[in-house]
This record gives sequence, C-alpha cells and structure tokens, in this order.
Amino acid sequence: MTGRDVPMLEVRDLTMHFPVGGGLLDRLRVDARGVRLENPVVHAVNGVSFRIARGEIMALVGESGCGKSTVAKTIARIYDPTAGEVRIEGEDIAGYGFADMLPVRAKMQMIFQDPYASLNPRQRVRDIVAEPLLEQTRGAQERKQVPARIEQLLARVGLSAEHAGRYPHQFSGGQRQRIGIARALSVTPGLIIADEPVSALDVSIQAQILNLMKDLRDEFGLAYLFISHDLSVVHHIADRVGVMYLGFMVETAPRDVLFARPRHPYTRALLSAAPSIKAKRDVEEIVLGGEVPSALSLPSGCCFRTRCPFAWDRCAQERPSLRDVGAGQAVACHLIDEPERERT
Amino acid sequence: MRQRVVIAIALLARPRLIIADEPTTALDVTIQSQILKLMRQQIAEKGASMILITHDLAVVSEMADHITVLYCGKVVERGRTRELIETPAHPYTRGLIDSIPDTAHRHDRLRQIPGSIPDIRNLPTGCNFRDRCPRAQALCAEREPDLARQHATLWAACHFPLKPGETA
Ligand SMILES: Nc1ncnc2c1ncn2[C@@H]1O[C@H](COP(=O)(O)OP(=O)(O)OP(=O)(O)O)[C@@H](O)[C@H]1O
Ligand code: SF4
Ligand SMILES: [Mg+2]
Repeated sequence: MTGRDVPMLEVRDLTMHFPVGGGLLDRLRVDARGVRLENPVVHAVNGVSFRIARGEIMALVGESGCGKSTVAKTIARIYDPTAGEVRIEGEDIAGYGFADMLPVRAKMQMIFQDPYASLNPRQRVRDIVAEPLLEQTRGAQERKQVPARIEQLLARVGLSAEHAGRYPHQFSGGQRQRIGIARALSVTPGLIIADEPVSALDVSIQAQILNLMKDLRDEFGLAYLFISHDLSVVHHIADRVGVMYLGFMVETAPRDVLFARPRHPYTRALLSAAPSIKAKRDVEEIVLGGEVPSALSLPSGCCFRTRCPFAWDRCAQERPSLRDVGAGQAVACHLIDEPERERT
Repeated sequence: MRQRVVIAIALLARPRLIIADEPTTALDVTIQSQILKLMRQQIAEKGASMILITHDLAVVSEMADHITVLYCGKVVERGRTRELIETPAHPYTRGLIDSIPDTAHRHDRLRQIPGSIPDIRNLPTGCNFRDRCPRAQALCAEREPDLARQHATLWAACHFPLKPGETA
C-alpha cells in the first residue's frame, strides 16, 4: 500500500460548499409560488483533483478567495468535505473522525500564514513543538526521549536551546515560522501542507524560510502542498503548480512548462499581470476586465467566461473539464478543441 | 472596488500631490495591474505627483521615477528607479533585491539577509544595518554613516558602499 507509485496525497473531485445564513428565516425562504428555495451556499471548492508524489513540492496559486485555503483545510480535515476523496498514501480519509485522524497526523502536518495566531501564546516553545509528537508517543521510555528530540529539531530550524523556554510573543515573525516548522517536523511527516507560509514575512526573512523549507525537503524527502499568491515564490520552490479560479482547478503543469507555456487564458493573464523588478517584459500583458464573480452563484459553463477575452457561446453552455494536453500539463478550457479561436 | 472609489475621489479634486499608502497591497494581481494602470494614466493626464508607499519592490519599480529606501526609520538609499534597482550602493538594498526569487535565472537557494530587523526602541550604535551587513567593519559600529552621493543620481548612507557591478 505504501509502494513507490502510490502518491503521498491524492485528491479526487474535492468539493467544499459552505451553507450561509441557515437561521430559521433562511430555512423558510420560498419563491413566489410557495416552493421552498435552496439555501444559499458558498461554492468554495468545486471538484478539484490532483496528486502529489513523495518528495514533491506542489504549489497552489490563484487570487484571493479562489479556494486555496479551503482546499488545504479540507485535506487536513479541519473541514468535512462536501464530496470527494482525500487519499494519504492511498488511504481515503475524507470520512474520518478526530480519533481516526491520529495516525494520519503522523503523516501529514500543516503550517500557517500567521505563525503567531497559530501558536498558543501561553505555551512555551518546547511544549508547542512537542505537542504533535507527544500525541503520537506511547510508553514512558519513548516519552523520555522527546526533550532531546525537541532540542535537535529546534537546532535544525535555526533556533537555540535557550529559545525552548520562551513564549511565542518573544520571537520575530520569521522565528515564529521556524517554531511552526519544527512543530510540524516533530512527527517526521511525509507531507506538509503550508498555507502562505512566507506571505506575512519581510522579503529578506522570506528568503531564509524558503531556503530552510527547501533544505528540509531534500533532507527528509518531504512533500509539500505549498499555497501562495506570489508567483516568484512559487517559481522558486515548486516542482509542479496548480492554478485555481473560483474554486476550480483550471490548469496544472510542471513548473517550467507552466511558466514557459501557460495554456489557460486565466493563467496567462495571471502571469502577465505579476509585477516584476525587471526593466522590460517580454510578454504582452493581457489585461482582464471586470471582477471575479461571487462564489454564491457560479456562472454556467466555464468559471472564467465572464472575464475571458476568448469566450464564445460554448463556454456558457458547457463546463470544461481538466484535460491532459501532454508534457504533464492539464488544462480546463474549450480552446484546446478549437485552438484557431485564439488567433483572432 | 473600494480602492477604485478611493482613487477616483483623490483624483476628482485635481490634486497636485497624491500620497498612496500600500494602495494595492490587499488586491489580486490582475486587479492590482488594472489599478496601477489607471493610476499611471490619471497622473500623467493631470500632471499630478505621487508618493507611493509600499513594501513591494516590484510594484515601485514599475510605477516610480525615483525610489527612496527606508531602514529602521532612516533613509538608507535613494535614486532614479532603474539606477537604484540595477546598481544599488547600499548593502541593504542589494540584499532586498537579491532576496526576491528571480524567475529568469533560478538558483537552488535564494540569497538571504541574515538576522532580523532590530527593535527600534533599542537600535545598535553606528549603522542600524551593521548586525546584518556582510560588509560591516569596525567603523560601522562607531559612526553612523551619512547620506552621500554615490554615482549619477544615487545617494546612500553607507561607509562601504557597493560600486556598480559589485555583488555583495
Ligand atoms: N468557513 C467558511 N464559511 C463560509 N465561507 C467560507 C469559509 N471559508 C472560506 N469561505 C469562502 O470560500 C471562498 C474561498 O476562500 P479561501 O479562504 O479558501 O480562499 P483563498 O484562496 O485561501 O484566499 P486568500 O488568498 O485570500 O487566502 C471564499 O469565497 C470565502 O469567502
Ligand atoms: S557599512 Fe554600515 S551602512 Fe554600510 S552597510 Fe554596513 S552597516 Fe550599513
Ligand atoms: Mg487563504
């Protein structure tokens, strides 16, 4: 079951819809003929599928509100998915309860954007880092070894033994993120889900944390689901990239393929809109009009059609599925069938 | 949307100077690029000036004519945009630029500025950057460097500034 070819993580048709309202009045909503109306739902994640191999870094990009964090939290089972499968080393955990998750937490850990909000302010660093490990450790003999292991972990992420007795507020943002990383590493997981781990950090500190995360991947063969809205960060760290829009995965590809030959019109717009310190751009910027539609009522057909410069009637009628186009790239766009429409 | 309203109001009164504090920081890149474009257009049309405050070097380098770099509340470097980005003299500016992952030339590791930003209530003697600076020498602890002209339009506050072409 843990053979080489079984992916570290496989997600199939993952769907997460949040009901909104839900009070008595909302539940009594009826239309003009007295027929009960559906409760409004936020379509945060809509049938997302992807896999991450052992030791692979997969980045998830897309604009604010496109569902990246919801994907992460649903995989980590902070949310119960509305539908779909989440397989960790082949085992579907989508229906697991808290107790079932105990052995899974030894394989998968999460780190967050705001390292301060995610660390208990009243716990000392050594206890914060030890918590996931203690949860996995049975037997007095084994527990005795935990403190030494914590010291080792702190040293590995660049903190000293004297830091172990301090509280989170005594650290800078970058150091707090190191604490979060040490904590996640404590159980030697195979997968770390990192939701915007460097977005809150100053660029000079950001580089320190990215270097550390990359070194740890090489050392421990970790796989990451790395969420970021910063394309230059993603280009630096990822092996493969998934692009999300309005809760859909619109394109996935190996990093170099995605940056050199993006196929989905949204990916192309996103790459061309990213600001750069370079003097000249070699790409003509694709300027998108309009705004992202509300996740409360998805457009029919393609999720991107309301802003897409190429949209035609088929795009309103039929939802494109994510299809393989070779070189490890998959795209959800009807232009694949009618490429001549791009040249107009 | 709210940002666009704010900008429209700023421009309605036909101001001579607009101060924009992180105007696009919370926005998505595709919306950000719409707004930056709009701001550039409006400023050019109305002949207004603008002070753009941001932590995003990529945004300033696309928007600004001149850049001023602050560290711990002091100006450490200023100059014309292309000159400052391409040949910075101050080691902090150099470090910031090198910390940005480069999509054209990918390296396995990023250059990083070691250490963290000092507590402004407890600044070091001499140069504020010296604890993190790869070029610091004894003089940096003794005396605070003044802003001095480096080359062309570039001014930097550093005892041992980089010359054009020097890397660190
Ligand atoms: N607990 C929740 N209840 C209701 N709606 C939610 C909840 N969490 C997220 N959403 C909605 O789901 C959508 C996706 O949100 P999500 O936080 O996953 O986006 P994101 O891509 O992580 O955005 P960001 O880049 O801003 O972090 C948004 O429309 C958001 O408002
Ligand atoms: S010499 Fe001083 S000013 Fe110059 S970089 Fe070093 S520390 Fe800063
Ligand atoms: Mg998020």
